[in-house]
Amino acid sequence: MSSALLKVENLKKYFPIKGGVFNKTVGYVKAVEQVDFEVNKKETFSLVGESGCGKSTTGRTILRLYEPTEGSVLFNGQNILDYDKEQMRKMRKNLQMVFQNPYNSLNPRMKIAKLLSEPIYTHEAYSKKEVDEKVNNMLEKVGLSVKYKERYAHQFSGGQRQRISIARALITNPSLVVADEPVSALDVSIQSQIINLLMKLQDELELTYIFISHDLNVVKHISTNVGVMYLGKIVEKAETEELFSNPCHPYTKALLSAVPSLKPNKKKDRIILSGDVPSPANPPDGCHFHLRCKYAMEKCKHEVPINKEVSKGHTVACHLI
Amino acid sequence: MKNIIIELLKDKIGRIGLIGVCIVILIALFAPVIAPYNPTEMFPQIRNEPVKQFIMGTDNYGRDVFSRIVYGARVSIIVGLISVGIGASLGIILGLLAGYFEGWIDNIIMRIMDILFAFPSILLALAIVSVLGPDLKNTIIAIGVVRIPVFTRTVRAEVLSVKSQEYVTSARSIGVKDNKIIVRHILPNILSPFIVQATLSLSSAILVEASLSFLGLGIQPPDPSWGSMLNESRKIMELAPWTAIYPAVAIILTILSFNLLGDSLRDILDPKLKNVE
Amino acid sequence: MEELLKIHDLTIELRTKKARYNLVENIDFTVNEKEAFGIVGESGCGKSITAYSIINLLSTPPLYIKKGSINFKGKELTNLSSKEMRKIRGNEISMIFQEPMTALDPLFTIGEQLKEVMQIHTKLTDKEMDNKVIETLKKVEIPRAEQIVNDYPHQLSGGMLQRVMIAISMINNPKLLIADEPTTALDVTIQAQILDLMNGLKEKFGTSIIMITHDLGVISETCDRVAVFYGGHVVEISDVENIFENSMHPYTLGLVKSVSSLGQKRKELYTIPGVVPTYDQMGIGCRFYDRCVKKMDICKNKVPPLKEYSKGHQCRCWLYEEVN
Repeated sequence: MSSALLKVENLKKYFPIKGGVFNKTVGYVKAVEQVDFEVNKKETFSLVGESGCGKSTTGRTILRLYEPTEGSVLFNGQNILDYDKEQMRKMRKNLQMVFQNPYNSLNPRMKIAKLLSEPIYTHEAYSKKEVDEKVNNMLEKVGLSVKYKERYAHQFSGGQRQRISIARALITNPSLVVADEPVSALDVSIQSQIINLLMKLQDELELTYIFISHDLNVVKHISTNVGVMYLGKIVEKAETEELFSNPCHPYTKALLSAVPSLKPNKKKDRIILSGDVPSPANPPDGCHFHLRCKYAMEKCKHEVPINKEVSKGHTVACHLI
Repeated sequence: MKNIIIELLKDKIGRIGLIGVCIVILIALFAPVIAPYNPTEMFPQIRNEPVKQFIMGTDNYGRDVFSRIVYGARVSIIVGLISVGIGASLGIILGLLAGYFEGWIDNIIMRIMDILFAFPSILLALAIVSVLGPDLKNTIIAIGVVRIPVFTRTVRAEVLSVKSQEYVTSARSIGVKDNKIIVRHILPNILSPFIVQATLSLSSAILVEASLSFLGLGIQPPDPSWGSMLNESRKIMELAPWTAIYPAVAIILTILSFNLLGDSLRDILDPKLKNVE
Repeated sequence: MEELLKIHDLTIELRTKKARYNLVENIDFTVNEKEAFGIVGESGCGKSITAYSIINLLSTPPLYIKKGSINFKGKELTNLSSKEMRKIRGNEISMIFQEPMTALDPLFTIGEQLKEVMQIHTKLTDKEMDNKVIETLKKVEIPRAEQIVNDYPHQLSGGMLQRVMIAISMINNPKLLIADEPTTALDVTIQAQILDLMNGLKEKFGTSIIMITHDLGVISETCDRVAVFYGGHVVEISDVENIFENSMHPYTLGLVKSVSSLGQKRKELYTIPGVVPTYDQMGIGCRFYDRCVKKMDICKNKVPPLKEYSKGHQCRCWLYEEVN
């Protein structure tokens, strides 16, 4: 019996491309193609990759904000993809999300007090006083003054809004939080405040995170395990330290080396990838990465590599291994 | 709300529009006080020039033109408000359903709206009135029905754009029920363009009423309506031009006021809508 | 090294109906020939409007240059007529933007857009221009340049478009290239390509670059010297090594500390407390006063001067005034 809080198996999400006079489906954007991973309680699993790799879609599909095409999502051993609409709605109390853009993830016509109390009223019947207390507690936890309660979201800065979003996500005591690029819209000096807050809350409230980001430094800092995504697939997955010290997939290596270093004049040997990420509507055959990979072999053009374990918990999908 | 009025008063166009609309509404409300005579009372002096006793003259039947215009404002405002009310409330319901649920609901609603939209509005209103029979109530119904597709479309388009905002996804991720998402998260955020549309619709509703009455299919004589007054003046235009000029000026100024108010509201509430019909 | 661009005491004002605000104040810095000069700061620090003011792209109204001088190769740019400025813009000084997609006209092919820039500033024949276009596209390492000249912007990816933007800005061999967050909208692997390209262009063609960014990593990868902006002031100028290793201003110090502590597993990050102030919340003293961990009484009411404390290392902070 595994101790995983969340186990994602064979998850797929295809978006139909509509075209023609009768709005027929003429193809699919394979945004998520076979994603498998699990997260243990109180740990952080990060999905990292470039735009269009399907990391955000994966996050939203796990929470059924998009209906998955295939696969299963086991939360505490139960497949939440089997739930009907009302069961799922009730389940959402335990599964929450923090969005990237603090400027449009908060309803501009609602005051902070209302934004924070809405999730409670949605799931539980509490007296007004109890709700008030919870809201005050939560505001304090995320480092905001209670006196802000009667203000609207647009009266706050980006960092403060993200604190409000976090408070809104955590107020129903969820066990799993999907954080979709929660700091990438923020100023550098504010980013670290929010990262600290997320880590502090994780310890205090025993949260499990799925952290979605393109920023490898942030990912390295916050996660226990990392999955690197490329065109809808996890190409490499390992514990954080293992992944950063011993990257095996050529894409992971290139990604790690592309991060600008903070040590001027110590120019490392950078792997510069040629070309762009291909469109997920029309991915290349075989290994999706072979067009940009300098180690590409004949085999890579035809055969899809399967996940191979290089050490315990470290899997790589590459023919080189 | 208070802010909107302050903003309106700051804007020159908005100020003129607001004052004009207020005057028309006040005239309509206090018609019995303002009008010197009963609008249907016939004096022996027919086609009398504007004089002190009849400041806008009298018509072919010896009725006081000024009193008829004052009572005509009543008809215009009542028809405008109620018909826009009908169109707007049905439109907002249909638009919300179509935009929020999409899929087959959207398809059915929008195809019906397309059919309604395919008729020029005045023709459609004419057709409805000729089936139901011409009177005040049916005029209101006809104009209201004609307005439905305009509102449905505006509301649907707004719902679609608000729905793609992350705060709606956020509400879904929290588990808020559909009906509450619509009422709490979508409705308040589409209200501005809706109000603008409603104001502009008032002017076209008033215009359609005048046209219907002019064609003899709206308000029936002897009840006063600006449109029917114009119609009656047609044959005597050269003898008594005042019977045509005053109702025409009343129509123009009223429509102008509503349009100015609508334009200004649009600028204040929703700058991005500026070039949309 | 020769000075190419010298900005002195530049103050840019925002005029609204209610009040006037100095968005940037007393900006002083020099960009030398063949140098990559970085401007780093957070949103609203005035880095972009400073750059826009150099080639007179400020949206006036509501923004006005209140005082100061911008000297380019001995020529005072603030006095130029818009006609004279057009001769410089796109020719001697060119600019690339954050969003390449919106900076290109969707209705014209890549080739036509490149030619347009040449038509304004040179008198080449059509044939010569065609050749130059392809040559320039190859210079920025665009594959299949012969085909891409006939493509429209929407047919290319973001990274490709940014290369095209760089090609457009390089086609007249400018002396100075202003890059406003050129890689912020791009992915890391594409960012690495573009930064690599820009470094190469600087070395090959001797173009000076002003690199505006919020990302210290980009600065460290590309720049020789850096100016750190905070709240509309230049708070520190130095060569790039010293910015990272011997930062003087508490803001720079905090920024470097917080960014470089990232990546150490789950250690609490060093943070600068508080929020980035907006232009209407500025006090009369040091702009960093509210968030500074080393603030003193004098900082509240008096703006410190920007002074050179060691060779090439300038700082705007009262901490160092005391010592001297």
